Amino acid sequence: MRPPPDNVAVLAAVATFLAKELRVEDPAQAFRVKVAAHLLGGVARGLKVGEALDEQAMGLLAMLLNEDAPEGPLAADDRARRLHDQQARLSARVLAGDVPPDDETLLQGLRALLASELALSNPRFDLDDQVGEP
Amino acid sequence: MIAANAPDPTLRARALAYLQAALGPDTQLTRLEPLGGGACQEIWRVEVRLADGVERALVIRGDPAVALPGSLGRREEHEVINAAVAAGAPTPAARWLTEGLLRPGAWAYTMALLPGVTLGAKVTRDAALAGAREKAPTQLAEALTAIHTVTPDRVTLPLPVPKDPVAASLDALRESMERLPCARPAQAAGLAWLLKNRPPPGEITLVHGDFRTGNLLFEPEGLTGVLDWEFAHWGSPLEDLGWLCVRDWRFGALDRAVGGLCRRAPFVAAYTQRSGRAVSAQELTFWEVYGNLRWAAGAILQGQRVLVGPERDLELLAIPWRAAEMEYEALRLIARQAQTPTSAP
Repeated sequence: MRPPPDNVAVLAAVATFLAKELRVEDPAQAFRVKVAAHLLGGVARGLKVGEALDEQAMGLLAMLLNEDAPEGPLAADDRARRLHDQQARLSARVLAGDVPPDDETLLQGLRALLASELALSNPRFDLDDQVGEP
Repeated sequence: MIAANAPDPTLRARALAYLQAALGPDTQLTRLEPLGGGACQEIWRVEVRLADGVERALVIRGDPAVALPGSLGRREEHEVINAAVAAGAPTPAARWLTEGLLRPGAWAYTMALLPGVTLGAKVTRDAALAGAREKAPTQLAEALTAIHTVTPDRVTLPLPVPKDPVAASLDALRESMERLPCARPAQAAGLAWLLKNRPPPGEITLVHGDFRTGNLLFEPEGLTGVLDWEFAHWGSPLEDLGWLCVRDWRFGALDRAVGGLCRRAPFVAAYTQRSGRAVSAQELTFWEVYGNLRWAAGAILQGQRVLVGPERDLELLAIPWRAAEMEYEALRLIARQAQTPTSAP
């Protein structure tokens, strides 16, 4: 096994270098450097907490589907398959009218699901209920 | 000077002949380069010197090799823009429609290159544009009112006229969602909510279809141009109002719901005053939810596209992750509406 740093530490350091240290004069290039840093940051967060967030998402989807959560941890491929399947079934149920779209449990559950996705993709996204109001 | 990376060595000669036919035989072509640094070969920045020495900055827009779903070709767009100009919309006229200038079979037209800023971060935050933001409620309302005076009973355009504009928009959204690589329950809930809460069909007008910060040109004195008409269609005028309020167009100025420029109330009041259309909070929320979902599905689909060459891939990669932001906002709006007591009839 390699000595430290691990993958997460390397990605985080490169993302920080791109976002905070590298100076690029051309504005279009500078923007693309920011995008690259943002993507690497997302990958680093995924490596670090993606599995835990997937577990949380599977639990939330199981709750919304009224089904049992899987027993024991799943391998990465199985997690992806299960999440895909749960999302497809819940979407179909909602569109078929089995769950009213303004049902409070549904809305809260879906917002929690999105919040965990946003923790990976954009932790700075403001989840405040009053954003943009009035 | 011709750009070093110009892909077609005969383009300059063709462009000169085209511009001389339009502006006079003594017109000189002093600049021809792709706008935006070369990633896109469909939009060209042009400078000409006319016979009397006057210099003019122009833009030539041509059909892309691969069009975005639901987008107009330049030939149709040319007609739509000129109908909007005739109605008083602040947008540069589209001139000298031609075929085969940029590529065989591709249509193109020319418009004036206006000065000003479109970049979201600047438009919403630059201190030099504070005065423009102050005028935004009125000027945005005036521009939309002008666009929405174009109606299918008075103007013929090469666009399909829907029977029910609300149903047509919801159908388009459903089709986008069906093309996603993975179902998104938040989008399903949003669509189900829209179907349950849809307003009556109402009137049909020209809809710009992408009227938002980023496509609006500002100078310190105010709004000077409405750009990018490729998503124009016949539809519900309120669709444009909701789209302008989509959270992503605020560029961090979250407290200014209308494109990061102003709050909803003064803008809606100005629009009602000029257009004579009453806009209820419920209707605006409906179209705002619709807009957020349209962009959520669109963001995922954009990332699916394998196109345009390596230069833009990085940005396309980053877009699908943004879908959750628009979905969250759509559900926030739905939850807020559920908590708002509706006034008794």
